[in-house]
Amino acid sequence: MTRKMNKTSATASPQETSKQFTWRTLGVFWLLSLLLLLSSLSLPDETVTVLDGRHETALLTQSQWIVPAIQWEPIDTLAQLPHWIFALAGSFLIALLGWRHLQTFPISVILLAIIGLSLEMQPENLIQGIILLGFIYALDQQTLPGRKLLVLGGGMAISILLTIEFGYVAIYCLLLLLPGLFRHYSWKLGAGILAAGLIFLVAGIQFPSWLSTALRPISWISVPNIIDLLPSSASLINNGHVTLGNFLLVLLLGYCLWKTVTDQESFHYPLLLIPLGIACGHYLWLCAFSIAVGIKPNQSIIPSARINHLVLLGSLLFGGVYFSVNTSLTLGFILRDSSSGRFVDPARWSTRGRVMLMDLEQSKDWQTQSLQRKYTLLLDDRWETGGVLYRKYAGFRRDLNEGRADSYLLSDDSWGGYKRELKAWAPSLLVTNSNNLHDIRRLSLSPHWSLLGIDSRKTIFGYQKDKSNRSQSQLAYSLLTHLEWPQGKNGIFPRKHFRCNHMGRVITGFESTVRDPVPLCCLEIFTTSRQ
Amino acid sequence: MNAKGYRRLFLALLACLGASLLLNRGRSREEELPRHVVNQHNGWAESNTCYDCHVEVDGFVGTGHGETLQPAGSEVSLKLLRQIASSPALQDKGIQIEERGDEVYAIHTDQQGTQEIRLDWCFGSGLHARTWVGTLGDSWGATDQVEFRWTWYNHLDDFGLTPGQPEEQMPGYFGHLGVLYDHPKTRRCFACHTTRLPIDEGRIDFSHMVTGIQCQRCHGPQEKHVQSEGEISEHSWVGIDHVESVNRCAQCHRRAEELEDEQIHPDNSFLARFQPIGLTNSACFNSEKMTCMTCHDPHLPLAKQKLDGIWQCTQCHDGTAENYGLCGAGQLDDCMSCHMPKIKDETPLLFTDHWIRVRSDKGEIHDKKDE
Repeated sequence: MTRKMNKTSATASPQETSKQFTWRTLGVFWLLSLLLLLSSLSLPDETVTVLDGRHETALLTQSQWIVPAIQWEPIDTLAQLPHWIFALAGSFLIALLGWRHLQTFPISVILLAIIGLSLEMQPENLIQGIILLGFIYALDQQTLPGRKLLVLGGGMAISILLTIEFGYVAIYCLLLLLPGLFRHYSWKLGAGILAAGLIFLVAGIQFPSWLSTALRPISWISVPNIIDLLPSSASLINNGHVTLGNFLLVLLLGYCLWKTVTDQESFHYPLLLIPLGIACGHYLWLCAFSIAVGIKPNQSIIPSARINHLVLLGSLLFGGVYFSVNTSLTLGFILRDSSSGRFVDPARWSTRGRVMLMDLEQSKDWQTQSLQRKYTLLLDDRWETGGVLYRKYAGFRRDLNEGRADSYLLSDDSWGGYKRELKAWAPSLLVTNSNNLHDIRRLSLSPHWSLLGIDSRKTIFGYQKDKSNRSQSQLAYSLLTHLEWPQGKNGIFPRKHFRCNHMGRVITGFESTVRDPVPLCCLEIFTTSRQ
Repeated sequence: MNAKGYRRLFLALLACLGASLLLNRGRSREEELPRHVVNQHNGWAESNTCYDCHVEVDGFVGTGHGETLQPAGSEVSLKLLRQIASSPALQDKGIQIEERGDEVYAIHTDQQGTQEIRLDWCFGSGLHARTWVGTLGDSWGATDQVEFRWTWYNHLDDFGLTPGQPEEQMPGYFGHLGVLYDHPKTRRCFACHTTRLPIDEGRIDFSHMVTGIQCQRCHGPQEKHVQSEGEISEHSWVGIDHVESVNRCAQCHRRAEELEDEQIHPDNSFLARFQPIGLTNSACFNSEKMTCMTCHDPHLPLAKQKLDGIWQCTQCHDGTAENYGLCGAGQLDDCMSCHMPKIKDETPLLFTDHWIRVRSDKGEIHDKKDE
């Protein structure tokens, strides 16, 4: 399929080989990535958070580092984007990565990378990816060490302004640049590095929350129970559920590792970040993207056009099949289908107060301004500050799941039981992942919680003693009662519409309830428990 | 790739693997959170090995704690269940017991038909009562419990409605035979009647369950202690204060925080059943010496504990200490009958009220003295 040639002995330059490719290839990459991103569990017009803009959490007294750019209004308005815009931008970013390696990676590896990165990409990865890609492109233009150092400084400044993962960006940049810079060491360079170190130190002392945020890629190791609360932080080794995307990203990393160790001239030092990506799933995408975008093999590959076209067509077919599950949603969005439902929106409820997330991965869903005006999370996924409370929080969560209200002695001689914390923390809402049927079943049986809303992503319970939950509770109860006996009197299906279904779809009859088994299963559990 | 390349690849892979393993060290999800002590999987010693050395507690198996749970097919349980046929209280209830091999079934028959449940366990020491339960798997594979509607009461020597169950039977298949409890409640019930209750993937592992409250339920798993022949001793009760001490007993005998504030008042006879709640509300509990063990020796059967007399009270109220007065009514004996009488609540059960106080219903004794 491909033929390799050494850079030194090549008769055709990479520029010449690139002529065999057209913009159409980029378009195919983009389309493939777009199809995969649109097939993720979000409605096309549902907003996603691309820029971290959260407020304080209820259980933490110290303040968290907030991305500075979010305080600038024009940027703040871009912090949440409709999913389709994110998908367009994200897929273009991934396509650019593929295009960058047209002459250095076999087309099959590029496609695997595009598929893996598209399947695993999260909204917050968009900004991080743009920064990293921009940094690499800017670096490619520079040859002088001083200029490279300037690019490094600029890249760092932008990442600090725009993302909480600037610590990862810093480590990556240093691994990428420092070994090369040390080969051209001069006193100016030494002074620059020293100055940067001093700035880092002073900033860390002045802003401790900034320092702890910078150390996120390291501090997760010491956070207790992080896997319970943030399953995405589990390693691929411990995680029993490895997705196709994860698998492909590991393959990509393996390929990059292979390429660099067989290279006789240089070693790509950012590969040292692979253990981080494998040990902490949260960083896997970032690790794979940054390593793939930065690596520059010294071998060129002349692709065979005919076979490559076949491979590209095959990948598009794969993307189409993957996307077909969501075709109706996307078409409904394009045709502005008024009946297409949305996710449950607690911002429209009369409830307000504290929210306890059973799955901290969902913290990002609660960052919209309308939700933040009414609700405060007890704790979120910022482990660098909230991590000290994770153990207590995980214990509280387990006790809620197991229905252990009252004190019981634990194996470390401490006391379990959720009643005390429930009183002290006073959450109004309790939100669990809709895939976690065990949690939903247990909470449905609890005398303290009543179901307020359910969609494919989250199931929301309200604290029964909280009066502000009552109207929504009644609404939910009538909905669930209706679903339990959908035939109505005389076998005539009541013509009512609901808004709590798989992918936010509206149920209009018994047939559509059959098509949406996951939430219905929860509903069945709930209503059965009420009998 | 030449030899140098292979060496670099090998080293790089080794470094990645090593670093990943290092980063994952001790990150097993199972062991991160401390467990309920009865659910702990490791570190348990064989129950009977305790008595090899601790001969002073040889009779512990016969205590109420030791006998608080046994199989429904045990001799004691069957003897009581067989009384159902002649029980005056159950004459017209249509209940009968049938033994099928090793299994025991409770059967209800009326005009509507016949229902039956298998009885698996017999809860209670028999000092007050015994209640049977059947266990069955729910749709998630966890264990639910059907609590038998009829309980045997010691002082009646007959059956009566199980405490907490409604007068009118519940609807559904189990209605005439008992009440169905979900898995979390089942776990709570068993946790207070077992020394060890292994839970695997949400299910009770009955084959490794250790019934009754034995040594390690309060002292913790003691495998290391046994293996080291006593060299290693982890005294989890040493150095704890009186509140913590009472709280440990109150795990099962109930703590005040389990009730609503308005429920906790001296006139609530229901509280007599939950001794630690009464005790911690007593003026006596102001003394930092006061724990359950001030009066009780949990290593002995209740019948062998010397619970009459005044020795418990005179440990403090001996007439020498200024803060501890003698009886206001001038009594020199039998403090218990006035200050800790036996109370009957809505059930046929009688419990000693541990809220030690000058009771309003005994006020006439003081009045007589004043006269």
